[in-house]
Amino acid sequence: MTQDQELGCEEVFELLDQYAELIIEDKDAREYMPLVAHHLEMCGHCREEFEVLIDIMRVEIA
Amino acid sequence: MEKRTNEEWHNQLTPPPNEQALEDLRALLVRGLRYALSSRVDSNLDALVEDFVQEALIKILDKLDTFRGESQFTTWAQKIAVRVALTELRRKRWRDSSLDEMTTSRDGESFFEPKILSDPTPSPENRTSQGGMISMVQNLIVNELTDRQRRAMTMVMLEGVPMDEAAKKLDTNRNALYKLIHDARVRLKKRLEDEGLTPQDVLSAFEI
Repeated sequence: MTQDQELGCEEVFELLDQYAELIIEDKDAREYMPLVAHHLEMCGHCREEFEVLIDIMRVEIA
Repeated sequence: MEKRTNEEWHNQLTPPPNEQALEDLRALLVRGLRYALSSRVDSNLDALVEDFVQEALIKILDKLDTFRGESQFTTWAQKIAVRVALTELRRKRWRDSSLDEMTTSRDGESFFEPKILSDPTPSPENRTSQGGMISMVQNLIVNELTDRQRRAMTMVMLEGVPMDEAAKKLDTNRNALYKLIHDARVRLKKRLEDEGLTPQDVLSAFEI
């Protein structure tokens, strides 16, 4: 749901690589970066970019 | 491929870039995008991926000094390549798609009826509450939002215009567009609260 404070797409993009690595490392990314997590719930474009990045990272380490 | 530290990547790609480092990065990005886009692209996958990677490499070299080392360099680079690829794919899809699903105006007035709300088979009870809810939400949107906010929300949330395309039409950028829509959402949420309603109340009226 809408929160009073949200990050924009570019702000999240700057942090997406860090967030993705937390996910890959099975760390609690939502706890460390809650605003990024929330933006990815709200923004379909950013969520798609995140999911594609994760897919690529998982294949690279497989 | 040679395994490099972040510092090695940065040093070897700083102009003039080391050819082997550039080729290794190119190959890495091609591999990643080819895998990720294989289910999203019907034809010319290899040619598209090459184009995307070429554009991504330009951006990566241009932004090299903004890399802060808070992740692996390869993750950061792949992030940029993914953004380039998906932005372009969305733009192509939007340009090629029909406009059949766009909402239409009625009597020339500024009006919209979100498709998600036009349930063809509501129950009698729901029809009343849905109708009432639609009217209220419409009134809020018409009366509480600026023209720019309404236009942004209509394009992105109803017409499915890709964010970058909508931003261009509004002569802004994706980040500012997100903030514009966010401000609109916050405003609508506050007005709903003034009416004693939560977003869940609105969704419940449509059994969502």
